[in-house]
Amino acid sequence: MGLLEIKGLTKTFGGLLAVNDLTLEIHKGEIFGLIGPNGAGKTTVFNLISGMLPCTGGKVSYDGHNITGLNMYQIARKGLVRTFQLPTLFNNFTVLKNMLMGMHLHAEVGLWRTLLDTSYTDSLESEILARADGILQEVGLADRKDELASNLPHGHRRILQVAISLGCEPGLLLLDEPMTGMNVREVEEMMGLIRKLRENRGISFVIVEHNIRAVMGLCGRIAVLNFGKKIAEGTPAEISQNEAVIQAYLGGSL
Amino acid sequence: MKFSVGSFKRYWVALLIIFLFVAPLFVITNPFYLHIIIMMCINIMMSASMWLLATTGLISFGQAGFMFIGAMTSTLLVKELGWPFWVCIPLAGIVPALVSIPVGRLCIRIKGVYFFLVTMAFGELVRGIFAYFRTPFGGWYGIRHIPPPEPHSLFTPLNKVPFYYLGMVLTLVTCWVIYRISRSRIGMTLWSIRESDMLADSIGVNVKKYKLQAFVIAGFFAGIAGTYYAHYFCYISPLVFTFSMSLNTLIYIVVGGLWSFSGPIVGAAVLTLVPEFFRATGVYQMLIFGLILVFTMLFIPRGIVGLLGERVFPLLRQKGERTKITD
Repeated sequence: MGLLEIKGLTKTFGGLLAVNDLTLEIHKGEIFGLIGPNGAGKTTVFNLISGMLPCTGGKVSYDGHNITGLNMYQIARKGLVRTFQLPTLFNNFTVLKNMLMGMHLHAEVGLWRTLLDTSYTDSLESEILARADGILQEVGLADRKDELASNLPHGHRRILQVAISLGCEPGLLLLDEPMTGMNVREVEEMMGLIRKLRENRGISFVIVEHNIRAVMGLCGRIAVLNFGKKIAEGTPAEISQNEAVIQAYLGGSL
Repeated sequence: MKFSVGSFKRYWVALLIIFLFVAPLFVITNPFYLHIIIMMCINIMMSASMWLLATTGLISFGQAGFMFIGAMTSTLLVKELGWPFWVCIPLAGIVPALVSIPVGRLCIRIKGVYFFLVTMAFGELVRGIFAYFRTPFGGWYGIRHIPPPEPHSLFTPLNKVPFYYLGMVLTLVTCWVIYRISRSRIGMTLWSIRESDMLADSIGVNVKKYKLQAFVIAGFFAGIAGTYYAHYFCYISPLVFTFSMSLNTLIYIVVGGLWSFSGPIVGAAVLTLVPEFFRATGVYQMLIFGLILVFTMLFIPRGIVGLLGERVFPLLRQKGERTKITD
């Protein structure tokens, strides 16, 4: 049984069929790639899986639980977290505060406790602070922790996005175009970070990405989407030979 | 000598509070000045509670409605049922808070300008309902002869000092609660919702719950302000708790500064006080109010407190001390 099972996932926006009967299975410990031309429906698939959009049809289950129709925050609590295509951060917060927000699931305190039990909240917050510092160390942003998130260069914003999602202690991360806008060195760093996270924390990944070299180098298996439909699935070697894929997306032999 | 802004602020705030408690005994004896400070207390309670909701990104225009519900609750309980005022104070907060739960559930689904309009509609709805029923709500004529708090010998119309102290206590409690919340994890979560509710949602924040929580708290303290108003002025009517009052509260927050807790406090204090200097100008008094607002929007968009934080305090700071923007 896979970590993430998607069966017959369908989404229509009025007359537009954005996702057409998608079936996928992601195994634990995998780095799974999801590629396809622009407009193929990849981000829509992420939105459906993570609960941001309601499905028109199909079923999604994570770690044995049926998560179809749940809210995004409920799915995040189960351990499935996604990042966004644009570097979405809490822009007016410092890097450290962004990270502290990422730890929200472990740091939530009720209203009465907040007002009356300062010793509890203080000790909880210092524990959370220590863990947040740890994660920032792990991703390499510790030296920039007091900087405003809006002042970060693009590459670091992407890394911060990943760092924030680590705060939830996810089992599966859906990364939406994590390497867009990065130069070669930054892409290498991000690839290294993803591998490191898989090894050290046992996180599985589904990555939507346009950078083919990164996808081929990182992913164990890849699925290709075109017009909302899965046109191929397999190892990087298989995908690069697949006729339909080459025609639809790569525009020539690899 | 090392200069820290944090302790500077705390020192001056403590000093100010002590001064305000001692002042009526020696310094401020003119009842008109006491009245101004009482008005400031009411305005501070309103703006601080509305501010907490605004940190979520929700600008509510129905706060006057909750204030009216709170005022009406304690007025009716004291006048019709003869309950003691001191029992009615918490109820005057609880009843609007209870009303705000279903109202909030409806309104919070909507964002931005539409939320603003729906809450404004709520404010008008409250006025409409209270205006329609002459009994028990007084209709358009309102309710007169609202008894002041007990003991009646202390809270006479001639002596504002007990009302002053009551106002100080209520305002301090309101501010303490709102301050503690805003500096806590809950406060940070509310800000994060304003920054990006999508991101907050994706990391496990139940956005609706937090928005509703802020909405209810705002309604609670608006109700407390309402009851204080009712038993001080001894008269309430739909002509008092208008959309204008909600708008004024918003202006206090904008002029004072949205970005920190002291913003709404400073804004309410300044905008209650400054127009009084121009009372002698007669009809032009409200002009100064409008001018301050326009000036703020054009030149100091982060408000008075934002201006102090960005320009004045850094000059006083020692070199090497970090500045945090949102703190």
